[in-house]
Amino acid sequence: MNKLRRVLLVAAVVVIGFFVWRFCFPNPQQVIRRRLNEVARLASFTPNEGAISRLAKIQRLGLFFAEDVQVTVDIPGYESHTFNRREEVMQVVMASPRLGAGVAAQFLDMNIQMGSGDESAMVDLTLEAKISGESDLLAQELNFTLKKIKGEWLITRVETVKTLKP
Amino acid sequence: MAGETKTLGISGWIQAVAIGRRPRRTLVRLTVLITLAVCVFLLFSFVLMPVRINGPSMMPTYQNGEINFINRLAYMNHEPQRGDVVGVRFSGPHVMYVKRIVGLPGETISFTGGCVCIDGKVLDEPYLKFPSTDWESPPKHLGPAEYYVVGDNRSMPFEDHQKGATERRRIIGRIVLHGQS
Repeated sequence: MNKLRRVLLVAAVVVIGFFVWRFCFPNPQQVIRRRLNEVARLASFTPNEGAISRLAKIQRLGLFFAEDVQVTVDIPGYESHTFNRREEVMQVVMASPRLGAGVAAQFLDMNIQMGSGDESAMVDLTLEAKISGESDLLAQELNFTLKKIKGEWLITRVETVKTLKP
Repeated sequence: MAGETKTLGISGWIQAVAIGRRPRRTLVRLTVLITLAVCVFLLFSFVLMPVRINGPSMMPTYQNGEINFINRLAYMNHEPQRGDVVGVRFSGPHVMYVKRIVGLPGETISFTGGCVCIDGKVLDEPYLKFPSTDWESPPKHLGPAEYYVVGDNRSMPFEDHQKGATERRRIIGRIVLHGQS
């Protein structure tokens, strides 16, 4: 019985140690996943959230993008558009009419492919967004390219993916 | 001594409640319960994927908010067929389109006067309850692993209806419960 208790104790310590190690020293995929989840959280607003809080979130959102980020939006029914540089992207976000409504955004099904040397990554994910007052969910597949710049994973490119090609 | 009763301590009481008077029977029941739970989990995780229809594009065949299942093993022995209602995944299985296959690999598909034309010939679609008369699109040739999918609600404006060619790898299965015909 003593031996069994000792074995169970050692196993519990190993398992807990593993999870603590993963939390304290995450691998690049885990870091990227956390950063992208934070991007989705900062892009979400409640309907009664104040303007100052929203602007603060958008400003913090800008820090996740590289200065020379390129965002290409090509959605069926709308003209394709490419936004270059972080400032232009932030201006478009701030001017968005949907900023007045509540938005709940989340990134699902992230597939992360690390580049050589673990200094870059491509992420294929699905953006799911619910706008307050609208019954339908918005879903859009996106491709993110991230690079490690000065120790931080920054988004350098975002493009929409056509799940169905018209 | 006669009349003496044995009182259970807390651990004894827990043991009596958890295991019962017949430990072997309890073990059998527990094994059956756990096996059932594992089977149900595996069934709904890897075989029958529950889905909730969102949006009007498959009306009236499938209603907005309706629950259905995608059979992930439907195409183990054969490829998707024309007329199949399938799940088309985005980057993973959490979000997908539920659409009907109208075009097969290698075919040329177009919309003329609201009708689907395959290689120039009008496709007979008996399942259509909300047809269109004004859907028009130029011919599109499908690649060797491409299928053309579209919803059954053709009364929607053409540009509002999500439709198009999708790769075979994105088709994860066929819908299980038949809708209103």
